[in-house]
This record gives sequence, structure tokens and C-alpha cells, in this order.
Amino acid sequence: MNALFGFGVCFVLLVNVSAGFGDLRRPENVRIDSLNTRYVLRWDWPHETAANQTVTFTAQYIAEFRSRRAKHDEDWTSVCVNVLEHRCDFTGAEMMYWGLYLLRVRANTSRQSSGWVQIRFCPDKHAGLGPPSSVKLNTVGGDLEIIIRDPLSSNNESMKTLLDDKLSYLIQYWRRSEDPQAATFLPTKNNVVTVTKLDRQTWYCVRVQSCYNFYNKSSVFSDTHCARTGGQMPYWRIFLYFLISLLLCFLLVLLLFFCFYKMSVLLKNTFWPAIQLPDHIQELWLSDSEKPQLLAPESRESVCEPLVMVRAVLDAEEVDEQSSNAEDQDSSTHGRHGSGDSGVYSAEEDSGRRSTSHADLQMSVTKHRGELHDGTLQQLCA
Amino acid sequence: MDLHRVALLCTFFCFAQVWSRPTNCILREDLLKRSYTVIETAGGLFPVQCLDENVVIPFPQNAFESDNTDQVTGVEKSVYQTLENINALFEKFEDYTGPDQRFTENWNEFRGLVYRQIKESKCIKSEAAQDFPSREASLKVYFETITSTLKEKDFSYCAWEIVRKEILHTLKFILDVNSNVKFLR
Repeated sequence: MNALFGFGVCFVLLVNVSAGFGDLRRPENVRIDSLNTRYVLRWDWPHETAANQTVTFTAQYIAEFRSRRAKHDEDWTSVCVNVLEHRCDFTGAEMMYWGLYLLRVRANTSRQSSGWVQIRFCPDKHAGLGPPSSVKLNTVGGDLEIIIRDPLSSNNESMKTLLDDKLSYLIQYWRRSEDPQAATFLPTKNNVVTVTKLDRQTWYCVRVQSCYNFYNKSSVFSDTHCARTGGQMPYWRIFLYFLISLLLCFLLVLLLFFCFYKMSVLLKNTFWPAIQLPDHIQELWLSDSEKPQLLAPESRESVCEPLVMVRAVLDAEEVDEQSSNAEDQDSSTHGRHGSGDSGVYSAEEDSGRRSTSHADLQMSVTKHRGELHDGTLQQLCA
Repeated sequence: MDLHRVALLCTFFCFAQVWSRPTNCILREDLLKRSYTVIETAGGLFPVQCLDENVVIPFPQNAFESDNTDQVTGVEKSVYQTLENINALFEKFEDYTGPDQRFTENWNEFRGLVYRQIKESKCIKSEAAQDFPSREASLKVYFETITSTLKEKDFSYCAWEIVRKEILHTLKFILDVNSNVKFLR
């Protein structure tokens, strides 16, 4: 019996193959891209065509329960006729989601047509499932409320009208600070789910996937949404924040004290310095008196007093006497006298006074020295 | 190239003799429920104008009842046989489209659902049930009566409404009473 069936299949295949000889090549890799109730038939056409020929395609469908008695092509419903694209959108064909359908496509030119390439399609079994149309998060105290909207059909109706209670969701949630690989999975059939036993005051991220378990269909995950749970902060975290703020305040106060100290030292040194000036100098600073003050360097000339250099010509005898007396003394004394004398000799010479005695000269030197030691600052100009 | 493919396939079918595996061998409750909903929505309540033409057809209740778990397979085969008989009825008289567009759409959807259930649960026919022959006989009488009623009333609108009424009653009975049926829920 089985062998007979096998031979029958082989015969049918042979007939189909022989029918294809000499005709236009058929489309290849015919498949359906589908999501919810959107169905797009696609195919490939990797064959070369003549330059003066344009290849178009025709796509049709029929409910399989009709195909057994369909004797004419009129029973098939055309969706795309002589189109250039390698695709045909069957969304508008209003195929029943639960039905069994046959879809077929062939290539056409102006002169000939290829054989049909037919596939079986059942949206319930073969159509892909889309993710939830939206996912929203709300925080209710320390819990997380997840609001899921059903995936929508091409008519913007919920897919639950087609899938009934077989549509479920898989919620994946994790702490934002952690790796998503360590997420917790929560299957549900509800559209509003409250996740409890979460950490308070913590950011959680959530994403949801649609599932149709009967045929093991599952969608891609929705976009990830994050929210922070509320509720009372854990006591340890409150204490930790308190310690941190305490430390910060302490450091701030310390800084303020340091700045205040530095400022006060600066002010004190500026307005109340420790080292005081001598009183006589302070008096000069405090008031403009008639006392002689230091003049500016520009008026140097007024400070100088004329210095009269006097060359004393002594008698030879007196000089010899003095020199004999001075030889017993320290030579430095003579040098001293000499140095001391050098500054006091008057430049003027008076012939009438050549015979000024040495004693007179010493007296004038002494007097001049006394003037020097008077305490008055005088600049002697040579 | 194509001849090579055919040769390989022939070898495969003839010597390997590997056929496609049987589809799911369990009746799907959701498809049966949807079938009931669709045909109920198609026409609403039994039309008042057809009350005079209404015919009471004895319902084969025994075909769907089971006293113990050993008879569950027999009930499942009866359900499958019922679906086959309904499909045969539509295939025989598929020219009927109903009074309006909405009816036609629902009618076609119902036919598609029945066809799909027959296709996917075909393996039930190969299951053995010793009490099935008596159940099958009851179903045969029931659907022959329905067919003869249709012919007698000349496939009129009311005739088809009688058929719809009977199908609704049968499906409701199967869904409500038979908790023993191994539906895939």
C-alpha cells in the first residue's frame, strides 16, 4: 500500500517536472513573512531573462477546503496580478486566522507563464506573533505595577480576540544596576501585573514578551522600561546617608574654621602688626611736623654741607717733636689720626694761617668729630 | 537537474517509506468552541418563519456518552465522525451561501474550521474502540435524516436553518456534557 502511494507520488512529480520543460522558470524560495495578521508572500527570481522580456508575477490564494473541488482557476482569488515586485501583501485578503489556505505564485511574460509554486499557510500555526503594543510601569509604594497592552492585528484589534486565553506574556525584570542575565522571569496571562517583594527605593527595568504556547510561538521582547520603586527607605540606607552627611558637614565646618583663621591672621598682621616702629618714626608717619625730615633723594644737594679742607703747615720743629713722640706710639694711631684727619682738612689755604698750630688743628678735628657724634644724621660730602 | 531530484524522491518514498508524521491526535476544544460560536453568530436564533417547517430529528445522544474511561476513545471517534459528516454535508451541497454577506462569511469560516479539525485530528480514526460501531451507526442514521430533510425541503433557507440548528445542538452537547473527552485545552 505504501509502495503504491510512493509510486503515485513519483508519477505526479514526473508529470510536473515534464510540464516544466520548455516553460518559463518558476519562482523559487517562496515563503511568507507574517506578523500577527500581516501576511506578505515573498519569492526569489534568480533567473536570467531576455532583454526584450519583462517578467511579472501573479499570486493567488484559496481556502484549502475549497481546493479539493476547485476545477477551474476562477475558484482561486488573485491578490497580485502581473506585479514586478517579488512580494505580494495578503493582509487585505481577509484570510481567516484559523483557516487553512493554499497560496501560489507564478511568473509571467508576454508569451508564456511558469508553473505555479504553491505553499500551505495557516495563520494560526505559521504567522509570527508580535510583542505587546505597549508596556507601562507604575510604582505603588514598594511594588511595581506593569500594564501590558495586547499586540494588535492589522485592524488595530487585540490579538486576544483571535487567540483567546492562549495568549500569555513573559515578564522579565531585573535591578538596573545588575546584569539583565540575572533577571527574574514571570509568566502571566493578565494585562495588569503587580510585582511585589522588591527592594525599596531601587531602580528596576522591565521588558515583556508575548507567547502563544500551543504552537510554541513567542515574540521578540518589547522595549525596556525602568522605574524606581517607592516605599520607606531601608534603615541601613538612612543611617548610611546620615553618616555621610555628618562627615561632609564636619569637613565643611573644618574648612570654614580654617579659612576664618587664615583671614583673621591676615587682618591682624595688616592692621595690628606685632612689630612696632620706633616712636620718633611713628610720629613722622602720624603727622606732618616742622621737624626735619628725610628729604627725597632728589634734594640731595640741600643735605650736603660744604666741607672745608684745611691744610695745616706746621713748623718743622714742632713736626719733628711730634714725630719723635709719635714713633713710640702705635702706628695705627697715626694712621687713625691720619684717616681721621683726612676728612677734616679744609681745602682752603690761607697764607696767613699757615702757621696754625697742630693743637688748633686737633681741636678743630675733635670738634668736628663731636659734631659727627651728635646723633644727627648728616651726610658729609667730600 | 530536476530529473535527479525526482529520482531521489522516488527512492526515498519507495524504499524508505517514511511518511509525514501524524498531526496532533487530540481534538482541540478551542477550535470546537470557535466553530460553535461562528455558526451561532451566522444566523442568530431559529427564524420564526421556519417554525412551521421545523422537523424534530432524533438526536444520537448515545454516540457521545460514556459510562467509564474505557469508552473515552469511542466518544472521541464519535466527535471526529460528526465533524466528518458535517464536512461531507457541506461538500455535497456547497452552493448554499446563505441570506446575506455576513452569513456567507461565517458559514465559510465554519467550514474552514471543520475542515481543519478533520485534517489535524485524522489519526483518531486509526484508534481502536470496541463500542464505536454502535455509535457510528447512530451517527449515520442522524446525518442521513438531516440530508433527507434538506432534499425534501429543496435546500431552502428554512431547510438550512434546520441543519444549522441541529449542528448547534450537537456541538453544544459535545462541549457541555463530555468532560471525559481528551480535549487539548
